[in-house]
Amino acid sequence: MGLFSGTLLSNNEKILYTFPIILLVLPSLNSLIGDISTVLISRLTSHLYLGTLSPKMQVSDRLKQDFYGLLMTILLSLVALISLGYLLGSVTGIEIVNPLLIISIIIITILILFGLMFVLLFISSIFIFKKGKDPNNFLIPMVTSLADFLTPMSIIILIQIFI
Amino acid sequence: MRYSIKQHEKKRKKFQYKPISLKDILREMKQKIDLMIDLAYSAIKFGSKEIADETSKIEKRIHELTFLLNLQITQTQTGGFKEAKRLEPIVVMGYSIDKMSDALADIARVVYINSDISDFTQLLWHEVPEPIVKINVKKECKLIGINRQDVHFRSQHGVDLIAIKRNHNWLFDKNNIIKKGDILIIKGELEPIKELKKLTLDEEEISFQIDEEEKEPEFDLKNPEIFGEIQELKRDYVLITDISETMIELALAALFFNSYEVAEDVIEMEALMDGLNINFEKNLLDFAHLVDNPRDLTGIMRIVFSCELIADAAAHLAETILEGFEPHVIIQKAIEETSEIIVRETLSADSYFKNKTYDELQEQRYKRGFHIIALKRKDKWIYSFKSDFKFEVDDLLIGLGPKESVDQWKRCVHPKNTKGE
Repeated sequence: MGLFSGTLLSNNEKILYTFPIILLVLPSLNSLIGDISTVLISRLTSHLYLGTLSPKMQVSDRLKQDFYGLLMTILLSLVALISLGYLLGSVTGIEIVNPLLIISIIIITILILFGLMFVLLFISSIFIFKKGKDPNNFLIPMVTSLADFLTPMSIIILIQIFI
Repeated sequence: MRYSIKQHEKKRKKFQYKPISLKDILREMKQKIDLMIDLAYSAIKFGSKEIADETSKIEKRIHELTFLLNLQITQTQTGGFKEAKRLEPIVVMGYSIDKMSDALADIARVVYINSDISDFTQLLWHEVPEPIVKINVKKECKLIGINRQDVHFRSQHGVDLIAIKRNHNWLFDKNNIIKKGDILIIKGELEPIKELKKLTLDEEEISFQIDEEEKEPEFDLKNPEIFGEIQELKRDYVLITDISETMIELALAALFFNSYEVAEDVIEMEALMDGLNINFEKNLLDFAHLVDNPRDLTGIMRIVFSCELIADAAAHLAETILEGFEPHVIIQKAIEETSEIIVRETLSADSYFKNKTYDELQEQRYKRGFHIIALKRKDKWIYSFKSDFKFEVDDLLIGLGPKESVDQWKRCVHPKNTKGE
């Protein structure tokens, strides 16, 4: 998965150089999605073992609470990350091209990935739990690599769409 | 040699892991232990080895569930001390139910030790708060052809159907259809039992003879000395079995409501049980000289000892509350999801229970299948009620009954509180 991410980045070198601020915030965005997904897997696993979440494909209050809780966390983290990123960019003299559009792309990317990860991880956790295995052991290693690949890919796709 | 080792390994039963959540495990354990109580006492009442075997099957299932519970707790991986503290009552609940199931299976297995102690267990049956009796389903009874689950025995008739005897077979399945000639093994208070007998058109006097062949009585009850002594023993026995059963319900109620006071009372009851048990054993040994074969008393001694073990397990459960462990939310959820749930309600000024006696509340329109396990008046808890006990405004009631009639029962106790529910 890491190799795919590397290939993707090297093939889109020009786009990334056009918006150097993306290079500045990309590692943090990868980390943000990875961390939130890890928290989500851990919570889903605990809920499934405890029984506060039934191993069924259905929306429950517990699931909604986790969704909104993590969404709030991710939005607050994004605000902090973008502010600090732009501050650091200004201090270090990195050229900030079309800030509003870049901010929008970052927010849309993160929200799409969060929604995608939430659904994917919820279904996978139930499937793995029903098989009698621990979702933590299977999903956490997978999700970190997946986030490293999906985040730059989404950003690149959105830049190509909007610019 | 190698072959025999392989054969031995093949025979060895391996634990089968199943991905069941802690809540589902607890719920099944609670349901199974409720059923086991009824089955164990039915086995000794009717001297039935088939019911005893069914009890042993449930005991095995509870063992499996205990293993699974511990495994799942280990897998849940606590997030440090705080999370571990929240999980502790779950561990204790599993352990205690496992111990109770061992004791109840031992009670049922008494039918294998003593060929028959039903003389003793049937004696003074009407003094038991909720006796277990048999009811015959006669021709033209309205229940014939109905699935036993659809009859809603507890909520509609105030009794529990434990098992059905059809010809020579015992049926324990919840989906059996009631047929003409069935013998229903029922547990409930006397009035609801009489009502059900009317419904099944069973006009016979209450008796406990299930098999056609007459059994030789174990004790010579025609001997006035033996009869007098055995009556005294039976009264203590009823008290011991009743307290042990109440202790299970109260310990679970203490856990469910996180009630320190109820937990304290369970511990007090445990001390009372110790005294009663010792006293009973002494009296039983005194009685032994009147019996031709004192070994016939082994079964009774084991039952009372098992009740003591049940009481110990219930006290252990209550101790978690006294030690300051807050029950995890899944314990409450698991208990809520069982067919019989615990509720508490304060008696209001407009309550239908107001100034009614315990006897008057046996009517189905008030009772709704509920059994009042405890009542708090001012600062005092009351756990047993005489027939003339009067209910007053502001009494706090803890009731145990079927989920389907919980709203109706609560509405009887506190009409305004449940309006619109």
